[in-house]
This record gives sequence, structure tokens and C-alpha cells, in this order.
Amino acid sequence: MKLRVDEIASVLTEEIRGYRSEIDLAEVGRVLEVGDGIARVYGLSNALAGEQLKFENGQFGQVFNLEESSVGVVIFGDYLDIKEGDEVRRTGELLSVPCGEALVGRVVDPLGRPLDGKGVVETPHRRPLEYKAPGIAARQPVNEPLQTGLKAIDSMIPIGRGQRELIIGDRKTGRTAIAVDTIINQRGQDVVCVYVAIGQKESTVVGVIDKLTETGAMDYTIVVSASAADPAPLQYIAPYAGAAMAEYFMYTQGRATLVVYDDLSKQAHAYRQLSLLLRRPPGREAYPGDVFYLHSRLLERAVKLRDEYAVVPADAPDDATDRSLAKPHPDGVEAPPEQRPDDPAGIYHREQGRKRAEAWLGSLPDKDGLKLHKFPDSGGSMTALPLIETLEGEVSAYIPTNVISITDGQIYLEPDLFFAGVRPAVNVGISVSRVGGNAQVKAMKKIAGSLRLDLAAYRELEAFAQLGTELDKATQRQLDRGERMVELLKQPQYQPYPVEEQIVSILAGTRGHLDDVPVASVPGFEVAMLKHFRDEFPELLAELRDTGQLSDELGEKIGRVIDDFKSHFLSDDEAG
Amino acid sequence: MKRVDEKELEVAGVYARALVGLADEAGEADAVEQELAAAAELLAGRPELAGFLSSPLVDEEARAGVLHRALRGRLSDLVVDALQVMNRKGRLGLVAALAEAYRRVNETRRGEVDVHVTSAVELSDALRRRIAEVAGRFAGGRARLVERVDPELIGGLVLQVGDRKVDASLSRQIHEVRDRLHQRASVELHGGKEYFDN
Repeated sequence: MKLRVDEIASVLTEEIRGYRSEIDLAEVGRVLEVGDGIARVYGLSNALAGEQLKFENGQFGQVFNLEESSVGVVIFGDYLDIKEGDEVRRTGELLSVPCGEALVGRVVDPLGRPLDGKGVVETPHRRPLEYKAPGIAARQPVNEPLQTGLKAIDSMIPIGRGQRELIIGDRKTGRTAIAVDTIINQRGQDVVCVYVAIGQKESTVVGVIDKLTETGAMDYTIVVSASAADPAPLQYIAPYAGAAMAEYFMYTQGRATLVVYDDLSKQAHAYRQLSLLLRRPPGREAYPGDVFYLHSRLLERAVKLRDEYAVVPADAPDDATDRSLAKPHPDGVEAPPEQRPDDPAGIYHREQGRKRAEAWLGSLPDKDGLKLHKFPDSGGSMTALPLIETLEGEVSAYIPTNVISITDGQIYLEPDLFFAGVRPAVNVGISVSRVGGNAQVKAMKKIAGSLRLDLAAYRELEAFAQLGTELDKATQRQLDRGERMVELLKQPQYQPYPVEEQIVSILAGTRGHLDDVPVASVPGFEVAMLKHFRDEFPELLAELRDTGQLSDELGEKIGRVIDDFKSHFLSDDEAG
Repeated sequence: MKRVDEKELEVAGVYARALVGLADEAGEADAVEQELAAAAELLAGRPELAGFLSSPLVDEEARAGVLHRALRGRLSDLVVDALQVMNRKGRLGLVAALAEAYRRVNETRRGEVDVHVTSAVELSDALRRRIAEVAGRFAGGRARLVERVDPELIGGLVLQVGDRKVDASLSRQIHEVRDRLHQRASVELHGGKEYFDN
């Protein structure tokens, strides 16, 4: 292999020719002391809080503390190169990260620098690291499901797009597994995923990336990594960087995004370290006073943005985002008060707005020349799955309680369940989803409505039954049903189920079709049954998937297929 | 000129402002500046004297006596009194910082501004005058040039007034071109264009 030197030389010559020298005017300060990822810089009297600074060796920093004659700076990168007396210059900018399509499929650090050896990330787009969460008016309630592909979660703790659902549990209980499965399950759903690894072992992160690549999930995923070896400042900004990268797709393209923060306990540790080094006063568990705001401002950025509609000329392209297309009616016809747009510029918001706009359009004399247009950059969402590590199941520690109170529900994982073979090890009793119910697929809602309570009742009875008392028939039946449901909800890692198959499985359990299948055979039965549906009755699955409804008729049909299959399965089982 | 610790300057600044106020009333502001500079220079050359003045082992009364016997009559009363006050507060270690802080405060009083000029070669007088004039306009005051020669600049000038720095040196421009070439080369090589013959 030979390098074509001439060509490169000509490109570089051209670059030099294009160089225009300008006098460089900068505001500079001097490093007074440096260490452990922070520096105190003398001068820079006009520096703003949060401003990005540049050190002599090319590293970036951010103004954290403004003091009388110096500023406290955190350093993003190698601080061992920085010496006392080094020059530090203002950039006049806030910290920002590159974002856009070029990042998808890449592994980057929190400043957007590539870590995967695939070369520079070339993108013209940047977004500020810290961005204020949208207000009330810009949002709409969570109304679209985000399928995790896990039966135990989609049935009982449904998550909606734009929701913030905490995954909490001790170490080694499968928190990352749930998050990764959810990312894998977004294949073909037009969801951009961002996996933010904070303070993790590099080996773990490589494992996750490998799995995502193997399952094809890297095609729509960005991995942001600040590992345990990276300086605390990078670990501290990593979640904000991930959020900024997702926001690009949400705000400019109206797309759905999913961000996994793995995990926020480590970020809180990094922030505590910075704060203590900068001599901010420690509070409970030595965390600084603003550690709640650290997480609340991050998680508030998860949002379901409102849909925006307008009545526009019929020849307007479908991908038009220009809001001025919504002109006043040429003949001066005004919408009656009950059909008024939400915005004086003629924009209608959310679902009710769409109905009003439709009604107005229907009443117009020249409706053939007009149409109802949904702006494609509206209605995007960012779903956040923060992870928190507890110690010995202690959810009442400082950071877990904070994040529980910020999020819209939590999935609680327990080591006892995990080691008993119940995986995912979700404790159904104390896991909740506060808003996802509205977003759940109707068919799932119908069959899984009582699942949670039944399982909780089973857990109670189970403890009772261990005493060996005689049980009446009804109780025994409840126990048997519960045992089979627990078996049914087990699911191997990296095998998310499409929602229609989940519905069939859970229907089989809650409607008692499994009651005469031996407990040990339940997993095998489920797999075989779903294969039977895929092979022989794809139309039933398709109907479930497309309508999302479970009519009584369809439910009966599915029930009959299950029973038929069961009789074959059980006789085979006996014969075999 | 020896660089003084910024933290010491902050403390010494309090004494300096008080002293400038008093000296100005007496019309001796500039004379005091010279005396302080001389005192600082004296101390810089005699570490054992500086040690004696700043050591906590020496008792305050003894130091006050020495100051009185050695300086009264040789320096103006104002300066000796100031040193006595600093002695009482245990701040005699800050004489050098006081001199520097005093100089800065007094300079501001006169409407002068420090302009640090770094050049590759020694400045000529004509150039010096022009720089002083331009820098004075830039800084908003009469410029007092603090010159430094640094051959590493290769050519051009660097001016610094307070936090603001104007860099018109050749070395910066060369560095800038180098960075841009680096960047361009990595973009080109990773950009999918073929620069290799198999």
C-alpha cells in the first residue's frame, strides 16, 4: 500500500492558501493551582458561570465557581499536563457537543470525541450541553407506548414515550440488561437510542457495545462513555451530553428518542467529588446542596413534545416545517371561537387542536385547495431510563429517594428474585409506572389489568403456603395460577418479544389456559405455542399488532388455538 | 521584577490602598512608592532580614524596636508607621507584596495602566512610543510598558492589559496553521477518500 503524497500535499497547500491571518484578541487568566480535575485560575474577571475555557495544552474546562479574584474550573481531560502559571483563555461559549446523524452508530466521549477508532465525527450541528427543559405549553401528555420487549414490564409497568422510568436495584440484579433489551427492542420503531455509560468498567461497556452491534441495534444507537478511568468532570457531564445528542433528533426532526443513563449514582459520586474539591459545603452523605437539581434538571429534559397542526395549501409538501404556511384565510374567513387555533399564527396544538382544525377545514368553502398538515418536527419525544444502584436494597438512601421522587415510576429489581431464577428480577409489588398506563396498548391493558394484583396476592399466599397448612380449593387454584404466571414472565436476556406475542403469552396465563400445564413445562410450552402462532396463525398476530385491540371474538379465537395446541403438546409430552 | 503571589497581593492591597490615601493627602504618593520599592529590594537581597521580619519566633516588641532603630529618620514617617502597623498585625512578611500592590494602586491613581509587551527582539524607541500610544488607547489610560523579549515568538508582538491579550505573533499563526492542517488531514484521511494505492 502506498500513500499518494501529491494529492495530500495539494489539499494541504490549498488549506494553507486559504489561511487568513487575523489578530487574536482573547481574555486570559493564569492557573494558580491545579489538581484532581479542578483548577483555580487567577484573572478572567469577566468569565461567566458555566462558560467553556481553553487551557494552553488544548484541554477544555468549564467555569464552576466565581470568586473574588479567581475562578474555580473543572477540567475535561488530562489535567496532569496543566501547570501552575499556564494561560487559560475564555471562549465566550457555553459547553456544547456535536450532534446529528453522523453520531449514530458511534461511540464517543461526553465531548463528542470518538472512542471507537472510526475516525472523526464530522457534523455541522452542535447543541448546548445544558438546555432548559421545555415548559408546560410545549408538551403533551404521554400517549404513545415505548415497548421494552419484556413481558413483565410491558404488561405491568408500561412505559410511554416521553416518560422517565427509573430502574433501581442492587449491583448484579440485571439493571443494564433491562435497558439494553429495551434498546434492542427499538429495532424498526424509528427510535434513536442513546446509551450513556457513566463511571462503568470499560470491559462492561465493551460488552454492551458488542451486544448492541451483534443485534444490529448500533444502527440507531449512540453510545456516550465516560468510564471509571475518566476524570470526574467528564463523568459529571456525560448524561447532559447524551441528552443533548438526543434532543437534536427530538427538536429538529420530531423523532422519538430513548436515553439510558447507566448509572446516575456514579454521576452523583463524580459531582460530589468535584464539589468537595471546589470546597462547596457538603450536605447529607457529603453530597452538595444542589445534588437534587443535578438530577431534576437532567430528567426534566425528558419530554413528549406537543403535536402541531395547521390548515395549509394542498400543494404544500408533507415535510414542510415552515410555520408561516399557516396563513390567514385569503377571503378573511375566520374560525368560529370553538375552532380557533391555539396560536395567533394559525397553529393548532395537540390532539384537541387537530380535531378543531379538522372541523374548521371541513366547514370551509374552498376546502379542496387546503389540507390539514402536521409539522413533522413537532411531537418528538425523549424517554429517559435512569439507572440507580442501591446498596443492600436500601431505597431510602439520599440519591435513590431523590431520583424516585423525580421520575414517573420505578422498576425495582431484587437480588432474592434474581437468584431464585426469576429474571428479569422485577419486584412487581413496589414497581410502578405513574403515567405509562395511558400509553399502554389497549389489548395489553385488557388482559393484564389484574395481573399485578394477582401476582401480589400470590406472593402473599406463597409465604403462607410454606407453613404447610391445608389449603382450600380456591386458594390452591390461586397459588397454581400464580406459579405459572411467574414462570411465564421469566424471559431470557437479549430476546425481546414483540407486543402481540407478549399479549398472546399473557392471555394464555391470565385466562387460565396454562392451569393444567405442569409448572416446569411452562417455558417450553410458551416458546412452542408462540412458534405455532407465528407459523400457523400469523393473521391473528397481525390483527393484534395492527389494531392493538383485543375484541372478544379475537380473544376467543386465540383461546381456542391455544387449547388445541395444548392438547397436542401435552399428549406429545406424555408420549415423549 | 519578581512575581508576587496573587493571594499575598490581595491582602497587601488593603494596606496599600490605605497608605496611598494617606500619602496622597500629604502629597508624597510617588515618593512613598520609591521608598517601598527600595525597602522591597533591600529585603530581597537579604533573606536573613526578611526571615527575621516574618518569623513567628521573634516577638513583636523586639521587631518593633528594630524597625524603629533601623528605619526611623531614614524612611519617611509614613512608611515607618505603616510597617509598624503591619508588624502589629503580623503581616511584615508582605513587604514585597505591599510594594507591588502600592505600585499598582498608585499607578491607577495617576491614570496609568500596565501594558505587558512581549516581542521577539528588543523594541526601538520609536516603536516603543507608537506601542505606548496605541496601547494607551486600547487600555483607556496612560500606558506603562512592561517589556519582555522572547525569541520564541519569531516575530510580531503580544500585548496584554489586565485579562485582555492581543496576540499578533508569528508563532501563534504558525501554530494555528499547524492545527488546521492536522484537522484537515484527519478529516481527509477518515472522510472515505482514497489516498492509498494498493
